[in-house]
Amino acid sequence: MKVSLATEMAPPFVLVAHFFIAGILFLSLSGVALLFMNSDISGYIISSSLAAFSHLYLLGFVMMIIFGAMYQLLPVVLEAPIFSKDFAYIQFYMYIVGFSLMVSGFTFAELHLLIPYGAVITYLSMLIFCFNVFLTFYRLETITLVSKFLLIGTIFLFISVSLGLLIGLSLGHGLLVIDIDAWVKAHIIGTLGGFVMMIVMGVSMVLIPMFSLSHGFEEKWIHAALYLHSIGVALGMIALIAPFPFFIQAIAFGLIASGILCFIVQMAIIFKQRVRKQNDYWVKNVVFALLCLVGSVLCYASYFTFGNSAIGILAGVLFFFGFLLSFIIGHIYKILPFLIWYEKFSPLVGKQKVPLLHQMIHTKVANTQTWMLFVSVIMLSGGVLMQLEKLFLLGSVLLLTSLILVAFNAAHAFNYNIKE
Amino acid sequence: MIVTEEDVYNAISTVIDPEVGFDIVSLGLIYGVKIEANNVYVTMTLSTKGCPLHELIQQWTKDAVLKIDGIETCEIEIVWEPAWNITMASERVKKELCG
Repeated sequence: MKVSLATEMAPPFVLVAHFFIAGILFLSLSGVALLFMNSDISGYIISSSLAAFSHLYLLGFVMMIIFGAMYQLLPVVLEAPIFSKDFAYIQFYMYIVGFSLMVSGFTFAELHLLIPYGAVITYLSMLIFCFNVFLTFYRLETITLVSKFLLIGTIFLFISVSLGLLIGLSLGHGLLVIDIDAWVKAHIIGTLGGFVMMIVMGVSMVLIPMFSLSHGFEEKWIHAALYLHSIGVALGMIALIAPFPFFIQAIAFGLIASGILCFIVQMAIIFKQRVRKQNDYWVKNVVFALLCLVGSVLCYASYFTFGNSAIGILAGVLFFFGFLLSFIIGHIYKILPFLIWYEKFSPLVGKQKVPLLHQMIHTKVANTQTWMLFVSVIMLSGGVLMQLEKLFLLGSVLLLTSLILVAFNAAHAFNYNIKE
Repeated sequence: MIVTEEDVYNAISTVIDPEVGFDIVSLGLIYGVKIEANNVYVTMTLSTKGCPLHELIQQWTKDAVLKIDGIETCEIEIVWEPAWNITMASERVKKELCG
């Protein structure tokens, strides 16, 4: 199978740039929002302030980057063009409006009635994304391992956002009498475990070997991860909503954890066989991300067993900032320069000297940002674990500073010009 | 003027992989060059099947060969067997990449 980040089937750069630029902007905004979260570190794990922040961070940054990456990668992974580029643009603008209303409703009590409206618009926007993906898959004759991850992930997104919509309408308008707590947990598992993790796992099987120049590795662990994780997420969601006895939920969590650990073993095997030995900011970010993912799974296992909300919040900190943030930023440093280079400099190859991709990133700033992020995650974790609000606040300030450096480097790449 | 294999390799060595930072000859991606009259046939591979520059590198290689005086056509064949590995690269590349 031919896979590439850029082929004639890939969408226009401007479409992907919409999602990447918005994602980086919302990431910076999330960093500011985190400054006001230090009083929540001892609170109940599902609070309105946490809901506001998590939706700003997840919908504004994580999902935005994933959507952009999916639009770029899907055509080349599937070797078929995305069903409709127009749908992608419509989805983007609807998503911005819907998610802004929803986050405003979560943030300001007097605006809570906006939540269902925002949820409906966001839901419709995500439906457009899902059907765009499904219709792209519909034309395929064969489905590869990576495609399975992307397809199952999108199915989970469809189910999870449908749950989210029902939760929103039930909260705002009393549509259904439901166990909000259980449904919210199912929504979280479906979104984070079902969509985000499945996409990360699938995309990793393309990007990690490509950037590390790793070859000839066995793939049995990632196959195991696919089945364990997807069955675990599905069972977990059903067990919460049905509701099934606690031991069924425990089995589901065990399957999810096993799937994630299989994925980590697969990544370790790929890294062990890499040709490129330089431990640059990409390697550091990916390795740190995977370590934090292990930490997050262990913390969640503890929270699941003993119900200590601080440990539950720690699991979230490690997952959100340790794993997702490091993983995505590490890849932004690789993918963003490539997309800009492809658009701006590839037509000049052979005609004049063009930059190498790594030259479009300010290395010192990227290295500084990477270490700042690592230290900030440790401080945030320490703040949560020891219930020290000031330490958490310091970690938030450091994290925000590191995010500003990410935005600086993104701007640096966008504005890179060939030096005469 | 007779075009030699060395001329073709020299021309192709101007093609740089912008992600890795080395030319594709030093990387060991060129498996063979055949010259028949004014036509050149290049058999090559890529460092990974997920190479983000699949079509572009192919095009750049073709463009570089066609710049040689006297060459009229150039056909590029991408093969995946044998799969590329680091032993195919030059000593300089091995040293730089593998540390």
